[in-house]
Amino acid sequence: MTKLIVNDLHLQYGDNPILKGVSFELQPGEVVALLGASGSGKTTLLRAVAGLESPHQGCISIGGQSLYDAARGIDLPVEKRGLGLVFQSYALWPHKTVFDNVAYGLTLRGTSKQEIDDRVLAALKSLDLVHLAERFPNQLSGGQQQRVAIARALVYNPPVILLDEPLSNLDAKLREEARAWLRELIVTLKLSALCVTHDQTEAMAMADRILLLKNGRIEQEGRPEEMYGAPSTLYTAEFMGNNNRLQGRVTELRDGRALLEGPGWRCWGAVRGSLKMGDAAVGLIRLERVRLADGDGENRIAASLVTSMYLGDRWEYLFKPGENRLRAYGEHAIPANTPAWLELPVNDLWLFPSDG
Amino acid sequence: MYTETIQSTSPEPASYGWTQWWSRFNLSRGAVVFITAIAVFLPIGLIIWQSTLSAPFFAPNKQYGLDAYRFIFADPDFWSAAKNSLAIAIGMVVIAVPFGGALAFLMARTDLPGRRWLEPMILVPVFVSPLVLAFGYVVAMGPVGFYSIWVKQLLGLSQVPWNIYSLSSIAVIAGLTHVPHVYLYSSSALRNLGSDVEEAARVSGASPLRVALNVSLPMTAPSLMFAGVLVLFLGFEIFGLPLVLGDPEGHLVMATYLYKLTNKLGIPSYHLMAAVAVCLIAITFPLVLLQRRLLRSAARFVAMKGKATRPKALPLGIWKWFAAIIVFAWLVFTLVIPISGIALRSVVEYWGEGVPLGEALTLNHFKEVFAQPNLVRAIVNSMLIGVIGGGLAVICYTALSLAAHRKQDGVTRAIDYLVLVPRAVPGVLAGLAFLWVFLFVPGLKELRNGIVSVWIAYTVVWLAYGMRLISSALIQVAPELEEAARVVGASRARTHRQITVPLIKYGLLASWLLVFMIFEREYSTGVYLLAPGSEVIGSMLVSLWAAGAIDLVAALSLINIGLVAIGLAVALRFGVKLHD
Repeated sequence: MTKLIVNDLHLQYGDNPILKGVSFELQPGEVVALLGASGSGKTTLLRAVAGLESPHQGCISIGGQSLYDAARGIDLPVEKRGLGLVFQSYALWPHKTVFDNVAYGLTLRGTSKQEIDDRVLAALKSLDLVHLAERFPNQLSGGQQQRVAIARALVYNPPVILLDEPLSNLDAKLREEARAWLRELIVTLKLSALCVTHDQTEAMAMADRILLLKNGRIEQEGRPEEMYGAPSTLYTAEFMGNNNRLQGRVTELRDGRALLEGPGWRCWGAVRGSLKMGDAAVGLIRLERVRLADGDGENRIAASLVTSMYLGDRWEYLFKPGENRLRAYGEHAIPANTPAWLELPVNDLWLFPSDG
Repeated sequence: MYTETIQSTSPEPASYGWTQWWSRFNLSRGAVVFITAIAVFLPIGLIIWQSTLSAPFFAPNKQYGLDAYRFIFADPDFWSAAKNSLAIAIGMVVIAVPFGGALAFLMARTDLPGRRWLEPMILVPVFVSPLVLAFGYVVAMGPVGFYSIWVKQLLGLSQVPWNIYSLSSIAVIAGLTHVPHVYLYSSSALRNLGSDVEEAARVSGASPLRVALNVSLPMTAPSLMFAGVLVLFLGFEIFGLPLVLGDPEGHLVMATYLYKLTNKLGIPSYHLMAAVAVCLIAITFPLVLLQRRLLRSAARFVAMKGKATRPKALPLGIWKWFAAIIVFAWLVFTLVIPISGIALRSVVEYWGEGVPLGEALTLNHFKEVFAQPNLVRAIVNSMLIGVIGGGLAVICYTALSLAAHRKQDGVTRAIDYLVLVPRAVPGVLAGLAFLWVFLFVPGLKELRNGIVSVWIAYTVVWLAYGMRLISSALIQVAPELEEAARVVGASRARTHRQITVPLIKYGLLASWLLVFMIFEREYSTGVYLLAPGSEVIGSMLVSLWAAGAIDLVAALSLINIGLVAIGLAVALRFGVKLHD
């Protein structure tokens, strides 16, 4: 089996650096998500692996074969890399039928007519597209087009399949179903996949491992539960979930915990990163970890409710204690201006050095 | 199962194993650019070289020197031609830019009556040969033209109340016939300009007129500027109108001065012609560069466009009839009068004051045209050049466009500038330059007596136009469609062949049709290439006009209009956009 290795990849457009030294490995049979905000370089990284962008430093290899190596002057053209890429817009050729779209990659490889027929039909069958084989792309729904795009990328059995925001063109409702379906497909076909997305939920659901990119560098990488449950930086923590943010100053330090103080409140939290006495710090807690308490106590903040919003499966409350805005989830509607106490459990309140 | 069937073959494309260097170096790309460079620079280089000689380049006793320039600069006719060119060019800008801009606004934003059928009509003058229009004005509005005599009789005047042979008349006619050029650019700018920016001004309290003046006009100003420079440039280039209309009173412009130089000295004065040509290019080339700059800044402006919603037509109230009458009058003047004049003249035996129209009708002129072998040849050649030559030209333009397609490198930049050069060379000069190429380059002499020579010249002269047609088709192709082909294993050349070209198929057919019409319309480029065998309608018209065969000119002109009309009818039938 083949392993994709990207090492110290640099890329710039003119004077504008996009990738500033990215390294990662994709193990056979693994799904890695490239996650990041827009402009983080995630799509550029994917396109550089495909050969559609030209890096100027670093190397990319697959199964020991160099695709790109700046030091050795190797830059394999796109068509020689033999990878599969599913475009965000699907990029189906409008002048070819579904069958011909899928068959093209095999035709280019000089596969015999009979074998093309067999393999394209097998691919269409596994994606439930056989009845659409003679249609043209404009006669298909978005979800069908996506499946054709995937069939086209899989049919010649590429060692790695690259997916560029595969779900972003689908309706919100369809997207969650497609996510489950795509994960199932990748797992049953034992594919190695590199998948770009800007949606952290999508990344966590689809991938075995997540690379979070920030300004052309990898901010943190790890399994989804590590990324969500144990972020090592403030950026990762904020990116991966819905959070409350408290700005304050460290007034006490003890056993990996610190006391964060702001005007009218003080909470103990778990220190992540390095903090000293008197440092400005940010306390971060996931919305679902905030608990409503019925009286004053340790790590509790008094606040009155501004409004509650109905989300269907639960309610979201908005509190405004002093300068802060705190949100929490609950099961019932609460009338506005109800006085309440919010408990921030010590281990769930992460303290990071202030980002200025 | 699927996974098992596909694991048997290697993932790489079959052609794997070529060396890196070979896959990167695209032989055909280099060849296409090289051939184009020769076709562009050889003629122009020949003109510049010839202008520094004291005699025609094939003469044995030639010497290097600037005598040719000294001679033309000492010739008062040269200076009067230069002054006339400037006056006509400026007059054209003054007339065409405001009118074209206003017309674009009326068509794109208001409830002007009859917009649906006006739209294609406005562009028709672009496709009618200016030479034919000029003949039309002579026979319709000249001293003994149809309309002149009718107006005289109707009003009981002793003299025709206008003179179409004066310099100002030429400028007015040239200005009015170039309105469509301005209209094209300003209307596409207006269409690209999201109507939301105008609606925002309305909501803020601006009246429709204020919106037009404070928002629409400034935002389309770059396009108007571009159109203005384009018209100025075309003003220095015009040949047919001043050739026909300037003759009776002896008004020369640069292009006609060059053309008349031969007659003036009675010997082949190639070095003098080359010197004039260099002077003319010295004016037009900077204008072309300026146009290029302006187009870029205009594009930047369009990039800020808002959301393109369908704009609500601005009600003009009773003014809409006033506006409609002006637009209608313009159409009558630029299209109906000259074309009806030519049509009428081609079917009357003779014409003058007191001739009853009913008695003079005849089809003899057409019979005569078809009795003369060189005229029949001209018609056949014109059709061949338009249909087959046009198709071949589109293939050439496509090859060159693909060489520059989605590659930002030195070669693409070179193509960019390469295309500009022939743009700056007026057709009559280009024809002259190609004549010299065919005389000068060994082995090409035989080409001179066939239409291949004319085809090469036409193709190079219209290079920029053709490239624009093809690239506007190419722009429609989403880059991912090509990238997807590359990813599944197609080389660059193969992607072009199997993905890009099939995708722009209809764009290419439309380009073929437009190039057909342009080639039918073209006349000046063929003038110097006219030889037994290489006749085309355009060049025969110039030569017949010089010989005073007005009957044949009228009949041949009508045939020419008919050929263009066929192209137009097909274009309109299939909804081909007449512009990009």
